[in-house]
Amino acid sequence: MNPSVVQTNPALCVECDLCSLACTQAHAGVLDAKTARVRIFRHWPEAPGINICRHWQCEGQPCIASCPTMAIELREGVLIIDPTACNGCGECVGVCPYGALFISEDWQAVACDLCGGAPACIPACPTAALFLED
Amino acid sequence: MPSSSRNMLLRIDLTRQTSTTETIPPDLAAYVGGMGLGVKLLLDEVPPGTDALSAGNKLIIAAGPLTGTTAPMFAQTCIVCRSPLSGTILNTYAGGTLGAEIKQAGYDAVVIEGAAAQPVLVFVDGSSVSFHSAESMRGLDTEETARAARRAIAVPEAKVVSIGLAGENRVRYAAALAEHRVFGRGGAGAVMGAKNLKAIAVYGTRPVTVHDPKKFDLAVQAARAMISKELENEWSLLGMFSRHGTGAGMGMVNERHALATNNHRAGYFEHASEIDGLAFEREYPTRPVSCFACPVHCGMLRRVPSGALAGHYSRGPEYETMYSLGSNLGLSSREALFELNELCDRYGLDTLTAGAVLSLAVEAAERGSLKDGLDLRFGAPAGPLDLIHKIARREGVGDVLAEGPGRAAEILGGGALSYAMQVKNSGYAAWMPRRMKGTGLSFVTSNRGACHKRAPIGAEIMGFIDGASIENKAAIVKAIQDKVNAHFTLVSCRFSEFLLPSELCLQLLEGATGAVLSTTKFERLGERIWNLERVFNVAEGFGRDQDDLPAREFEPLEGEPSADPLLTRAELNYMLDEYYDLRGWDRQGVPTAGRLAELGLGAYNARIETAVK
Repeated sequence: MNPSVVQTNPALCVECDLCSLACTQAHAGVLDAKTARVRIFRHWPEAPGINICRHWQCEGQPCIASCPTMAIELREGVLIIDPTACNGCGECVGVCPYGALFISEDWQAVACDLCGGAPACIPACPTAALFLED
Repeated sequence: MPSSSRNMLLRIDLTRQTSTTETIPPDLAAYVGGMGLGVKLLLDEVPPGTDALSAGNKLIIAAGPLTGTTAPMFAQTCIVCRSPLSGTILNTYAGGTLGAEIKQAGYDAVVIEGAAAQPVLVFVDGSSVSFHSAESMRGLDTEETARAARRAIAVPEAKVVSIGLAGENRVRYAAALAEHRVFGRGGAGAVMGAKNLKAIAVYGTRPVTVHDPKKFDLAVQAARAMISKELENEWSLLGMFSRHGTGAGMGMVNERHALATNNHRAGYFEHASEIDGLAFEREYPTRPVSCFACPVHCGMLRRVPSGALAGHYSRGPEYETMYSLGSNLGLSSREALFELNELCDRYGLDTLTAGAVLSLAVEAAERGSLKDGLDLRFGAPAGPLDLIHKIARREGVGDVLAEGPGRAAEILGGGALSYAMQVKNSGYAAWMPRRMKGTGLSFVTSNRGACHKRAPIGAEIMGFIDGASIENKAAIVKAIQDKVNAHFTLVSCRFSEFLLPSELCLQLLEGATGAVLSTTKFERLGERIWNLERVFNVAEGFGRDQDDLPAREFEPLEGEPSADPLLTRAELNYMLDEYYDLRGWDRQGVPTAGRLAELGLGAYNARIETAVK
């Protein structure tokens, strides 16, 4: 199975953070835009950056190669980070060209895992700045 | 038990530069949060006669139980203090992201007490409060201050509340800015200035949790569905705001000859279509920006494409500013309006009262009561642009105008008070009591002076109720005041009151915090808060005499076929009598002991009795 991917259109983004909040609600049962796997970075007056993993268009996927414990792999179209192998060193964060990997409070690298196929951020976005593409 | 409320107050003592935290006691928690918490606290802790610009005044920055959650249209933050402009109790609001940050730092509200000896920056993070010298930030504008504050604490993502020169100079209508959103009304920026509080930075990393995620999500989905439906309607107010910002409706207001023009002498502005939201959208690259978790995105971020201000950008101007710094000064220049708005934001000035003061100054100059060598004419931008600088610096006549429209008119003399468009020294919001009599009653009875937040504006301007009628306006105004006050405990956006019924707000509250409240009790709470505010004001000497409109309201409008006044004193008195009776106050506008007892506020009667005697 090759699930859909999350596409972004920053020009439509209104910076409400609803995607980030839906993300942490889905993954951790809390609301916290600061620890989300999709994050909005404001660049007023320009349109914001919407940082989310887009491995399907990522040349060389440097996070996978950078990981000293080989915790990251691409499995069936989803970036999987093995929490037992990840030591939170942050190498992947530094090399990600999309700024889409983050270190969590419990020292784990995290990235968008597409919520198992139905990303919570998609219905949360009021302007379709985030959308699914097959 | 998880809850989106923190049940925690942070107290900051600027005099001693210390801070403490305290659990919110049950009698305060009964006021839910936001405005309710702020008003109750201020009444209990700030005694009558406290000078608004003294160390004794307190500045309460309060989020609500739904702030920081995904409940749509609950992003605003409330500041409560005594107003240096009106002398009344003040509640003032800004949207954006500040409230959510305060919640993430672990608090529902921050109470700022005392005064620092030197300019200070206070940094609140989740675990500590630190005090930093803001000596080097003296004179910086609000945006420069915010940047300097983030640098000083080395937290680039911190949310900052800052004041500019106007706040430092205690201009009585100085605003506090938070991330390009403005605590505009009433002079909270001057209170910060008087406390030598140049900025407050907030950064929090505590996730927000809701009490019952399933219940909460159902309520959120219901609210989102109602909002989506409303936004799809091209002609609904919210739909227009979402697409074009709050300035979308100026043409409609103008068509009804209800657009205040040239210091409220006329109700029609021939150049309205050059300065309204659609004109800005056409000429300036614009993109909408939201407050925290709000799908409406009515804020419009605009960039100036060419000319002297090329490259400048601003979130605004909003509708009310298009009136106050536009039509009411007779200005048809978008660029001048944009610049005036930007100067107000940078100096930290309320655009509404600033506009009331400027239009007063222009008319006073025309009549010879103001001579300052400035080019003050309706329709000419140079004079107002010069004056804004003078007001913020308190230079020359700017020092007089910095006192607010009522006080300034008294100083200028020559009958200026009759055309100073203010109530309780607070400049008019963008509406004409002569066209909308219920809104006029709201202006005079508002606890913070000429305010549009608790007025039947939508109903009167859209014609759902007859604006020219005085019948039943007292009941309509009372109901909306009580309802909006209740919603401001949450803290809702003013626009949510158009749409989200109290029942749904309470479902959101229950899902988020577990608190169960009936609609009746909730709206009754709004009435209690309204009465508490009135108690505060009566104890400061306010009563029927101050619940009044300037004499201009009883004059005919220029350029209209009828030479008769559209509103008479007798009509205003009729509405006021009916209003006081409905409120259970005496005809001087003083809450009776019996009414206060009924509302469970018997203890506050003493505050009134001491003052009235």
